[in-house]
Amino acid sequence: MPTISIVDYGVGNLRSVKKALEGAGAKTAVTSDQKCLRRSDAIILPGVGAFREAMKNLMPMVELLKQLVKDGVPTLGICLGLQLLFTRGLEDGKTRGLDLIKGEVAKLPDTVKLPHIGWNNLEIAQECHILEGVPSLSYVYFVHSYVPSPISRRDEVAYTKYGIKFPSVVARQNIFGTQFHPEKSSKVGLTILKNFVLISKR
Amino acid sequence: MKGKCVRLRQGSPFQRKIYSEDPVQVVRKFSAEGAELIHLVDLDAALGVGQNHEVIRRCIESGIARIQVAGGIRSVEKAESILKLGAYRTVFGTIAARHSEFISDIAKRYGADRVAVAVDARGEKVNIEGWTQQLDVNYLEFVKSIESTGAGTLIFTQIDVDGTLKGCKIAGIAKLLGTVKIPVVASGGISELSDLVSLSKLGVSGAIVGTALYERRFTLKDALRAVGYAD
Repeated sequence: MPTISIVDYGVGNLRSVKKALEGAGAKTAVTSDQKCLRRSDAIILPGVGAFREAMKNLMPMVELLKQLVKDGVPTLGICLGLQLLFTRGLEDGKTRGLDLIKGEVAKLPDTVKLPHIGWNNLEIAQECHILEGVPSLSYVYFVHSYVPSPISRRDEVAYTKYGIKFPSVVARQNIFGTQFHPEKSSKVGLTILKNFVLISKR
Repeated sequence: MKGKCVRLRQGSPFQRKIYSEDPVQVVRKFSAEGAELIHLVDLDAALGVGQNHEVIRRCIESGIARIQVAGGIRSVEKAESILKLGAYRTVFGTIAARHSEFISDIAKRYGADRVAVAVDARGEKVNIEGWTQQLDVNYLEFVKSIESTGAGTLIFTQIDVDGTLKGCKIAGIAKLLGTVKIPVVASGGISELSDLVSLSKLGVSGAIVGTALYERRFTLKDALRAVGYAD
C-alpha cells in the first residue's frame, strides 16, 4: 500500500481528504514533517482559503516540495493546493507560488456570482491517467473564486464553464491538480483519487 | 423558521426552541468543529407557511461545510434553484409520495449523488407535509418504491423520538436496512455517543444529529471520534 502524505500547512479541513484516500486504498499521513514527506510515495497538497496566507504557511516546506516534485514524486494539488503549484497568484496583490507549472491564478469574472459553489461538470479535453474511468461531463463539487491559467494549453486536461471556461484539471508529468474537491465529489471524486493512488504505486 | 435556527419536539412547531438568531453563525460554528455535511431544513417551507431561501443562500456561501437542503422542495424548479445556490444535495420528502417522477428527473439530470429522499415515520406510518399529514402507508413498503426513483441516499427519521433526546429506535432502523440496498442515513432521537456507535455497527451510511448537539450532550468532535474519524 503506498503511503501518501497530505501536506499539513494549517489550511483547510484535511479529514475528508484523508478519509477519501483511505477509501481509495492508500495509507495516509497528514504531516508537515520533512522526513515523513521525503519517504512518501506521493504527495497531496490540499487547501482552502487565500493564496497569500497559504504560501506564508507553506514557506518552511517550499524547497523540499519543489525538490520532491522535480524528483518525480507524484503530486496532486486540490483546490487552493492546485493554485499554489503555479507561478503566481493575483489575489490581493501578486504572490509567488511554487512555480512548478507555469502560469497565473486569477479571479473568475464578476459576471457570475462568487464564490463558485456547487456542482459543475468536467469537459474532458485530453486523455489522462488521473481521469481514467471518468466520463466527460461528470459533475464534481467546486468551492472557489480563483482559477488557474496555465501558459501551456497542453497542461489543461479538462475544462469547466462558470462565467468563463477555465481548466479544472491540469496535469504535467508527475504533477496533477483539480480545482474542484474530489473528496467531496462522490463516486467520480473517488475514482479520481483511486487513479492517483494507482499512479503513486508505479 | 423565519430566519432563525430552531429545533422542534416531534416536529411540532408549537414546541419549538430557538437556538440562534443567525443560522449562518451556526453553520460556521459546526464547520469549525469539523462538520463536513450539514442538514438544513427549511421548516417554514415544509409547513407551507413561508420560505428561507435567502438565509439558505448565505449558509451555503459561508464556505467550508457542504449543505444539504430539505423542506418544502416540491417542484423540479425549486430543486434546481437550490442546487444552483450551490447546495450539495436536495432532499425530497412529500414529493416521494406525491410526484416521485420529479425525483427521477433531478437524479437523471444531475446525478444520484445530488438527490436524497426523506422517509419520515411516526410509529410505522409515513408522514409528509412537514409531518402534519400521516399516510396509511407502512414505511417499509414505502421505501421499496424509493429505490427505483434513482435517488442516491435515503434519510430515515423517526418522528416519535425526534427532538426528544430519548435515543433512536434501533429496531426500526435495522428493519429498514434489511429492506433496501440504497445507503441509509438515520435521524431522530440520538442523545448519546453510544447511539452513534450502535448505528455505526448496524451499517447506516450516516447519522443526523440535531438536538443533542444544540443541547451540548456531546460535541461534534466527540461524535466524530466515537465513530472512528481520527482528528
